[in-house]
Amino acid sequence: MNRTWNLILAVLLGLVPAAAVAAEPAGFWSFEPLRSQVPDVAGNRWCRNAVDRFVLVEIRRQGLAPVGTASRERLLRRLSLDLLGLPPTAEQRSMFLADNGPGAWDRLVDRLLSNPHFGERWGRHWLDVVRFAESYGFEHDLDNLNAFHFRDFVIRAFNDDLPFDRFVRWQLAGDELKPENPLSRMATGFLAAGVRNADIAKVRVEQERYDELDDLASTVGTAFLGLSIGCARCHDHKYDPISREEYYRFVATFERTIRGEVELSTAPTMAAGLRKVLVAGEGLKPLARVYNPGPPFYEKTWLLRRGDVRLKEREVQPGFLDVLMPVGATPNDWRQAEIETGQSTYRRSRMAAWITDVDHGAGNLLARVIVNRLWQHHFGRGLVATPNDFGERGERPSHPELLDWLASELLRSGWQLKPIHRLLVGSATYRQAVLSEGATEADAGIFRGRPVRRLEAEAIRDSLLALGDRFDRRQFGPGTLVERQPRRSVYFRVKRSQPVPLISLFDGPDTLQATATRSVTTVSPQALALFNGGAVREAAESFARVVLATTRRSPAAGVRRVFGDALGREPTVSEYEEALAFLEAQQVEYIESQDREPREISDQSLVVWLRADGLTEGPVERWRDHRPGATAVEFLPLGQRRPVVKKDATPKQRSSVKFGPGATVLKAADHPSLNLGTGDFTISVVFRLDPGSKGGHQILGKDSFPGSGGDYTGYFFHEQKGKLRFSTRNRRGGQGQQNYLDSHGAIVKGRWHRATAVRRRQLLRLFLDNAVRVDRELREPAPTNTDAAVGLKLGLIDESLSGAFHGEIAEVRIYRRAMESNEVRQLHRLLGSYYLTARPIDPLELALADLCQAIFCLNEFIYVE
Amino acid sequence: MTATEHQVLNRHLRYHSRRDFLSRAGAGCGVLALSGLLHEEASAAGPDPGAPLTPRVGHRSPQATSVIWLFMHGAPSHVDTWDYKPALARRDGQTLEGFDQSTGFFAGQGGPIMRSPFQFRQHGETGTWCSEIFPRLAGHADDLALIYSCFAHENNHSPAQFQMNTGMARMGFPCVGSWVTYGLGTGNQNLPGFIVMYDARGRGTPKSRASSWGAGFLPGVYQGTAINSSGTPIENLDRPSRLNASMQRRQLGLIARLNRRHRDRLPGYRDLDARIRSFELAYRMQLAAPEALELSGETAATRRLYGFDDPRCASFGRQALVARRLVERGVRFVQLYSGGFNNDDCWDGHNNLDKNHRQFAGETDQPIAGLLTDLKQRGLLDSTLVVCCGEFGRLPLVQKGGTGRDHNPLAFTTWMAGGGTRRGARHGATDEIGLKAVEDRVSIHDLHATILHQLGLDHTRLTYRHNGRDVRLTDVAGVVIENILG
Repeated sequence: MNRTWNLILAVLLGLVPAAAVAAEPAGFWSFEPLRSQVPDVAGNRWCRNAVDRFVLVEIRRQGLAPVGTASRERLLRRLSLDLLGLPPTAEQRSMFLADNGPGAWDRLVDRLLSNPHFGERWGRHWLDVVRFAESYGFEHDLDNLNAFHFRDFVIRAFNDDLPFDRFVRWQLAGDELKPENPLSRMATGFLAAGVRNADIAKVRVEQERYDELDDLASTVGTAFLGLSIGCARCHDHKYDPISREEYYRFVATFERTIRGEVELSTAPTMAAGLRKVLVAGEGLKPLARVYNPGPPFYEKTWLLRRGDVRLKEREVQPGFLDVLMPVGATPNDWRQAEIETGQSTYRRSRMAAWITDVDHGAGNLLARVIVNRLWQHHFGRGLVATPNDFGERGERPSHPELLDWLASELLRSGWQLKPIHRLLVGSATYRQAVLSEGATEADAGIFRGRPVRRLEAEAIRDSLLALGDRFDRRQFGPGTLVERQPRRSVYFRVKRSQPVPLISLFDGPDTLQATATRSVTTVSPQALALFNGGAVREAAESFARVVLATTRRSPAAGVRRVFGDALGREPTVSEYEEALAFLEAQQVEYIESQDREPREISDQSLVVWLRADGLTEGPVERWRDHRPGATAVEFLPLGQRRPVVKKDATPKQRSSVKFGPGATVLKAADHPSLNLGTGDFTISVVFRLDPGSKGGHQILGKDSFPGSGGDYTGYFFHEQKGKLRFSTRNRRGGQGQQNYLDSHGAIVKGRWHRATAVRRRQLLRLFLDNAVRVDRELREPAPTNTDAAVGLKLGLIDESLSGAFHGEIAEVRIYRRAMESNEVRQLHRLLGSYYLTARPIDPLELALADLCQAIFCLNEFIYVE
Repeated sequence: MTATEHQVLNRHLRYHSRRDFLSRAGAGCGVLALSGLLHEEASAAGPDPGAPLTPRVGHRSPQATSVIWLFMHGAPSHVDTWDYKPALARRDGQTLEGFDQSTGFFAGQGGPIMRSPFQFRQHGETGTWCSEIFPRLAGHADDLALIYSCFAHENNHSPAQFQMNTGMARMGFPCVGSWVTYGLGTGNQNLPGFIVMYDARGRGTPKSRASSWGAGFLPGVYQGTAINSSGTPIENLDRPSRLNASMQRRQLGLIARLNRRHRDRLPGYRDLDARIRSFELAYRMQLAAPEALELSGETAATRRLYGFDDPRCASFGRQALVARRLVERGVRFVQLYSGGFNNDDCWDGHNNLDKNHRQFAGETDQPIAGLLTDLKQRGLLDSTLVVCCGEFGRLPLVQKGGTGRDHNPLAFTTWMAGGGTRRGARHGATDEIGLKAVEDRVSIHDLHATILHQLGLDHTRLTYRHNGRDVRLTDVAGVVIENILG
């Protein structure tokens, strides 16, 4: 036992007068020891557990009574969305509604708490608090593709109910405390998740290091302790007892901690094997920078004036917060049995011990802060309404004894969180119905009645997805930025410069600083995303397929199923009737639109019409113009390798001409009809890129680019970084036009696309696929004469450049006139029905998808009672 | 609005307790006429002034109601544009004694003093010096309020851009446009309130990427919307392909009826009303946004004014014209970037300043001059504050190895026009060679304070409570530059 504890013991035993050691009385509530006494309440039949007694006292104090229990259907939906972030499945629903025995609710709670989706939901709450991301921000926003292991660790920890004190200690010092455990190493991803400038002027290196340290100190403060430690960077904290000196001592704990990558066994989360994992620690090989003019860390920490590295006052030693320590204590008092690896100063493991130390350190505050976060997510606001601020400027707890009692319960349970979840969702307080006339601020403050809460972005998206047939429930592993990926949203890769649109639209977390409470905003772009957005439409179609498959195409059963699965209830009579009428009306329109087959557009202006259908299988000998009776334009192979005719290439089993591997080119000799001059034109192509092919495909063009220097002119289609580029140009002696029009919509490898470029006078427009409107347009600054004395080529425009087309072309059309937008739409529909629509449209399925999408737009779907 | 009222707004945004908010936030102003395109579904509840983008007045009556901010990305050289330094020609080739080689980005690459490659002439009644690369803008010299003495703290682009846009050199803070829409809402509910257009020639985003229009910790509703100035301007504006207009109307009708019934069961929750309304507004945005960007109704003369017939500047000209159309329609804050991501694709003239600046001046001179002329003609310049700046300036020295100039955070020029600024105002000065701002120095916080001031917002009172602090755009600093105000 060290000196400090001896001293404290001495005080307790009355050997030394307390006044001799006591500092100024802390006094402020959050720094006080836990105090809890479950109140006695008379006539407490409403209460299900101790939580309710605390709540009932306050409700009665206002002369009010609690609100009755919500219906079982609503309770089930509430609990499932709360614990899993997913709506209850049909099976969960029938199981719970059939269980009328005593303890049915507790059984449901147990089932959901042991569901592996629980960790994904609650892990996400924690990721908000620790500003988790997988890229470093600033202009380069470099990715770290090995950062996701921290997210996996968090999910695992919540699912396994890793005791919270250990959870915290590992995040601070897993490398020092349990170097042999891959999970505890992954946990240090917490320290590695902040922003990091990778391109720094030499003079700024030290300042940037202090910024990095500030991110650590501030995040530790807000996430674990609910204290805005970062406020003391430039001056003593204005409101809380944190001096500037303490701030720098706190910072010194992380002085030598840097980010690096180590190979670890990922058996706890993924298939067994060694993988690189982003961690933090001392003695690691630092991560690369773009521009690297200075050291990754400095061996001294200075007390800075106004946070400015040029204003160094004196060196400081590591320390914690005086207000949460016995007087005179130092970090050494929290020294653990340290595994001597010679790699570390063990400063962080001492901080970890201090922060979880209930008797002499910050443990009580830590417990208060985390139980408050659990309360906040279950009830819509914390007992302390500012969950990241337990200081002077934060809100005072509405139920201080309840907060303390929950914190004590957490300690009694050995820091396990699931027992606290059980207490909270098992309470009568949780099971109250919504106050239909609206909860006032006063009601909300005493937790009388349930709030109506909007789902978080992830829960909205995951709910849509879970109802359909594409939902991929696999856990862990690398994430993706692809918005339409079929896994839960927690598996999106978090790139700071590129938030997933749907997530940020619904107030996704700020990844730069700790987010305690997400904002809830309501704006029109959210509505647009729901009724127009591709991802939501896709989910609606997917849900419609499920419904259709399980209801034997009965619209009546379909409507019931849609309401049951999506809203967790039967439709009312009028809803049922309206939905059926809607299905019918939509179906009628789909059937009518089916009858209106698009007309062929074949007129005098059509100068080239290539169609792969009808070519004989094998290497292409020649590809002749398809127009009846025209002076045929003829495409012949150029060079040794030939493209090949592929049968049944499109969803409607039409042929295509397959280009690549390597350069395979078809060329039509220069011909007056191919020279479009400065005139109007319309060029359409039906194509797809090989899945897995690299970028830069030159699809078709008539362009005289000589490689480098010199003059060139022409027009072409070209894939560029996932977009389709159409270009017209006319360069003479380094002067003149180069017009690049890049599609807004993406080109997906392996998928068939229809693209049309139109020039009307100088206005270039690009249309893609089903787009109702022009995808992109560009005005040529001056008329561009695109006549090049070269042939029109398919597969490669310019032999001197790499970027041969690896993919297929099914059809090409060139018109010597500008089509109107509606004509292009007609043409695209025509091409779509010829090549793509694998089966005739199913009016019922589409109408059902319209209904599903409407349900996704409902307040009842987005808000939980 | 006071800080307390903003806290109420914070709280309102968090859990929408509203009565309190309404009584203080000036429920009377800016009532929207919601005729409801889905007329059969038109909500009976009327406008909701508690909606976060509803227009409101600030702390005092404003001089300007909109801002157009022209961000010359990559940092133009002040000594080669507005801040004429004849000493550079005199001392051309001389070593600058005592120069701190860590001033620029490339430590140790500061060479001798370099004269400007451009000729300067005086313009207007104010006799304002302007370099030859702005021949048309020079014609507006008397309209501008020029601030010669700006300085920044950062010598690299992205932190400096964060600072210019958010006041802080680190990521994660709200942009000026976010603060402004947070404070004032916006005048057209069918369009986003804070709109950004960056390079339309495929040269990429600004170096600070989407942080350049991020809302930081403010609610996401205050984030800027980056729009395409042609084609599909805003995401998700088009119907799903198979749905025709009448089918979508029927679908929205069903949504509205079911939502209304749900709300009738829960009459106390006005968020539910707000959300019902957001669907009506979204439906209208489908029409309003393309209309705002459709330039076919603009006359040939207007197009010429913005430089549509000059291939160099047609692209920026188009954006400038869109900017005017947006403020005309009530959009609160529009920001335009000249130049793209890479050094040579923006004003970052490290290697060959002459070529670089001629190119980017060529892209912007006519459009900006045209914008000022057009705003004036339409009587919009009084209510529109036009701001033009880079993220810092450039050194009066040559950068070794070329004929360009490295970054200089110690001095740069910013100009403002309209929106209650004083025509022909001249503020501050740099030293003899333009290395440092020395007289009436203006920090970025000061610029921000001034912009807010013109919009009727007091920068010390526009606050948002975040992680225990009442955060301001201007942190703990900022002084309004009274000298440039009318």
